[in-house]
Amino acid sequence: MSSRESLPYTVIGGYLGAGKTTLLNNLLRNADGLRLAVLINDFGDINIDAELIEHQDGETISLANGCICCSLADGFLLALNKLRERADAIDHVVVEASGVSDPVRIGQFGAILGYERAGVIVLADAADVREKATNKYVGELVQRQFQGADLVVLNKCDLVPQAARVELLAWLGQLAPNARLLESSNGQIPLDVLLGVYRDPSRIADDADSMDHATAYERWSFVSSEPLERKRLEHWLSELPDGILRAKGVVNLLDSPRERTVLQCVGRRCNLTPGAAWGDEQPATRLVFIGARESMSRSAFEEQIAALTR
Amino acid sequence: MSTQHADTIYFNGPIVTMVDHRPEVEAIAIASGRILRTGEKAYVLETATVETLFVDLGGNTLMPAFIDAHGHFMNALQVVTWANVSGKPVGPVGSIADIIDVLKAHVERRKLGPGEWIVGYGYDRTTLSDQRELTRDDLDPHFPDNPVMLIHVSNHGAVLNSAAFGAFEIDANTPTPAGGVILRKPGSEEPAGLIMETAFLPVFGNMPQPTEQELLDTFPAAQEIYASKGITTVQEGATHAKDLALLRTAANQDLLYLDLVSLPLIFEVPAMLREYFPDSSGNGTVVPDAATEHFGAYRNRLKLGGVKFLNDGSPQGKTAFWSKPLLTPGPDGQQNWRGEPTVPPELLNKAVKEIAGKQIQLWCHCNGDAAIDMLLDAVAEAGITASDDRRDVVIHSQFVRDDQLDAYLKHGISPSFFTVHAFFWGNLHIENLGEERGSRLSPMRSAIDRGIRCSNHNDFSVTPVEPMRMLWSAVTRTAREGNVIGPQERISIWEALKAITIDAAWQYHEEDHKGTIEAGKLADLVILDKNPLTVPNDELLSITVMETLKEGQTVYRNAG
Repeated sequence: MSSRESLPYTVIGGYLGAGKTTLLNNLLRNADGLRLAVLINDFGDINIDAELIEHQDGETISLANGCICCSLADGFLLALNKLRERADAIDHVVVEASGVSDPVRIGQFGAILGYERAGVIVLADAADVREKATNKYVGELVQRQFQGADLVVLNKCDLVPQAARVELLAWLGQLAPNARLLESSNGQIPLDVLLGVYRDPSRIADDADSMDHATAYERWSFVSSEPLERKRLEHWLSELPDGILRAKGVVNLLDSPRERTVLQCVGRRCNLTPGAAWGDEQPATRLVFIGARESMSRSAFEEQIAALTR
Repeated sequence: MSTQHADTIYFNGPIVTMVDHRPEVEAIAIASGRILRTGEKAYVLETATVETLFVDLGGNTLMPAFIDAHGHFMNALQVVTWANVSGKPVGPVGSIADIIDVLKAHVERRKLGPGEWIVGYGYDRTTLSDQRELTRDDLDPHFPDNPVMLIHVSNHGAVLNSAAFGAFEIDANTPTPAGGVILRKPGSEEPAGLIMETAFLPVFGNMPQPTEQELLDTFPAAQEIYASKGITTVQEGATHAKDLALLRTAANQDLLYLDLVSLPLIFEVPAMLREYFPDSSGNGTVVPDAATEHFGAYRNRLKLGGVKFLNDGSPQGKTAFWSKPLLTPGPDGQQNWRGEPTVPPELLNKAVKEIAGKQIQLWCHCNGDAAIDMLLDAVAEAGITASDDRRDVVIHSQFVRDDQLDAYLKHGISPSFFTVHAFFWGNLHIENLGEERGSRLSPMRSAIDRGIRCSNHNDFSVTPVEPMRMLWSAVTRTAREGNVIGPQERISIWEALKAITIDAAWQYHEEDHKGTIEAGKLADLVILDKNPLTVPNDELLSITVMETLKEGQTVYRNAG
């Protein structure tokens, strides 16, 4: 790819009507400074205010906020390939998986072309997903889509009573045992949950107790100069409560004292990969976790993670 | 009423009219590109003048030119510049030495200089007597200065030589991507030649693309692929917006000497509407009335025949969509696999209603019976009936059930079958679906017995352009291995000929102009060295086209 590390790449999947378009529209409008490249099946679906559009040519729409929107009409591989040429002007790629495609497969293609998989997110329409899952034509396909997801979003929750939601979540949990679940009512999901924590982890100390009271999400952060033991960290990560959706940061590992170890978690998938050397910088662990509010008590979190350093 | 004067009169050979009640005539006269008169020699001769050209067929057979009921003309533009390294009977290759010969001849014919790409298609290790994969070491000594890429018959891989590996920077340090194959030399990491799947995708996607002018330059040779086999009406059966632009350019430059019917893909229709009808206020799913008049009429030999829908994939690739599972695992090893639709039924229903409501013909690719069920649901919801005489076509209709054939009659749907599948993949279908379902591929007998008009096609470039093989497969249904696939579905040679002449014309709503030899119709004709109606079945495959005429003009003449 380009001179920087690979571009992160997120797949948004889900059957027709699950809310992908609304979610993508929201993303484009509220990118909050992130320069997104959104790949969608047809421009006709996207509803962008004319004033936001800076430039449009055939296959690409450029927005005033630095985002671009590309059509998948010419095929997916071609679109992804072309994006690599603009990699320096993009922070994150988001691909809409068509209603009948396999989002995991689309995720795999991204990896082949050198993008870094940041998540496969599959939406379910709370009002009709059960019915779709038994449709004689697409039932199996709908169920299969959830299987490879990192995050499953039960969308349009406002249309369905509480008891039904609980049941749906249990059912989805069975279909997608490797995913983490969250609820949403109109595709309004915080950027960092959807795309992965994007705030600079070195500033985490400043955000230490960041909790956005207005949303259903909470953040837990951890900073320490004590090194962590790898196996114990991996074990603890695998046992995180169900509500924890994302994590990102830099770890100072006992067995890799000279270099950073980068942590990325989406759903239940956690990866620890070698990063840049510490050099002259003082090694320190800085991590942020995002999840549904009250998934974890702060005291339990602090205790458990601190225990990893001893 | 004055008698027109004949430009040409044909006689002295079987003249097969493809008219049921009068299958053969003694002579015909052509004038101004149309059939002037047919019948007994004396009667036809009445139209002769001193200027009339008399063509003595010398025992050769004259009949209506064949009509391509489904295929992909855009592939012909590509194939013309590529070398055919397929195994027999699709190509001339039986060994690695044959491949080298083919490529050398190709370089000479196309006058390729150093650095220019040599691309081949149809490579398949199982066709080589050497019983091993072709490697870069076989290619390099003969082609040191040209990148060579021989595309695998599956289209999922290729064999590269050193110059090609260099161009793509693939070497011993290149890791094999997940889901891909890079064959390495024994005891080393150096790529040997063959790359497949995910290793091949970026290579294929980054191949140098021809310029528009280079593509336009291939139009004569691309049409010759069809004309040399007696075909004068060709289909481009899955047209993308870019392709349509090229075809229109070619048509407007008078590069078409055959008739070309394009079927724009439904996925591309919104983009096409935005381009050609930017003022229409619809959001791309509504077809403006002004667009409708562009369908159904030729302009400079190019016609938009209707809109192409795609409900499922391919049966041999296990991406068709069936109502019951296969006996074998899915493409990724799935159990109880029955394939998948390529479009949600809600969208299909909506699109069918919209397109049908605008009086545009539907051409829907369906291989598995569940894909056909989806289409029938959509057609029923749109209120389409046989009395509309729309003649919507199901392309392939490979595994159609009897109850679905009954539904075809009710809605006026006409299948375009693909009987050469019996030869190429018949036993594979039986392996995947079992004897009962698998052997019933392209059930032309069952369809014709119900009074359903149907055509037969090659789907170029999935199989080569070979009308004789289509005839042979429809009447014998013999597999490559020699056994017969569903003998109860065999049809007569007359029925098989109709499927590539008058019934194919009927599907295009052109039966008034093409498909039979009758006064008033276009003089689209083919001269064959033997009569398909009288030769033993196996001799059908050796029938040769001597000449092809489009509206009375020779567009192909056999030099041999």
